[in-house]
Amino acid sequence: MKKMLIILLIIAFLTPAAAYAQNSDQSSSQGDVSGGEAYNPDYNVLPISLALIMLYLISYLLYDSKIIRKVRYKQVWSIALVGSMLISGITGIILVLITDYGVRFNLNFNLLFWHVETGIILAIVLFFHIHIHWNKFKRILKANT
Amino acid sequence: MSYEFVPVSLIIIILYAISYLLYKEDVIAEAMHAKIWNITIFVIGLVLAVIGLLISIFAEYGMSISVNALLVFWHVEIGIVLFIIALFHIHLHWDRFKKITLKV
Repeated sequence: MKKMLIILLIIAFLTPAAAYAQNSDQSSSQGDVSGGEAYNPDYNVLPISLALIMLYLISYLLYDSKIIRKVRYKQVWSIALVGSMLISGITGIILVLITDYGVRFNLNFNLLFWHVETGIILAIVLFFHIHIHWNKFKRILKANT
Repeated sequence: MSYEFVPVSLIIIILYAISYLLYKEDVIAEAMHAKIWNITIFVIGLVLAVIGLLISIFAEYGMSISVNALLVFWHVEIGIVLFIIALFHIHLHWDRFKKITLKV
């Protein structure tokens, strides 16, 4: 029953992902920006969120079907969380130093763009982290513990 | 606009040092010391994630609303706090962190 639900969820998330990809493809071929003039495709909130949710559902399905062990399943998402936190955090701190203290770094890439992209990953993976460690969260948040 | 990186970081470091000292002096149990910072990182992480997602959605879809500047300011301030607390969180859970993340 749980496996069926997860497969249905994957299909449910594949549909908007496919629609979004098709829409982006048509817009780029027409030379128009989707979502109207105000749409700024610099940040990829929806594609990143959909991709991560699908990956999470697939990894959960693999763990639930005992194809991968619980340790490996937890490890993948812990590494994703720590990695995205470090990159987003460090780029954020650098941006603050640049803004606050006028510090100049000789960097060849758009810091803010990567801060936002890894921040989106961090935000989504944070919800997965809460789901994976839900029992521990319940215990910690329980007043009488 | 100044984000007060040093004062904010110092306040968090001092607060953590105080709670660590209280735990080392047996005034509070280790569980309580860990619980305070676990709850703090949980709440602050959620708030920061939601604010960050809102800002990026507003930016992506060109929605310029009056609270944007305020959202960005608090996102940066809370982000500084979260980054420092995240380092403490890794320190608190170092053994489990090594076992889960570094052992590939």
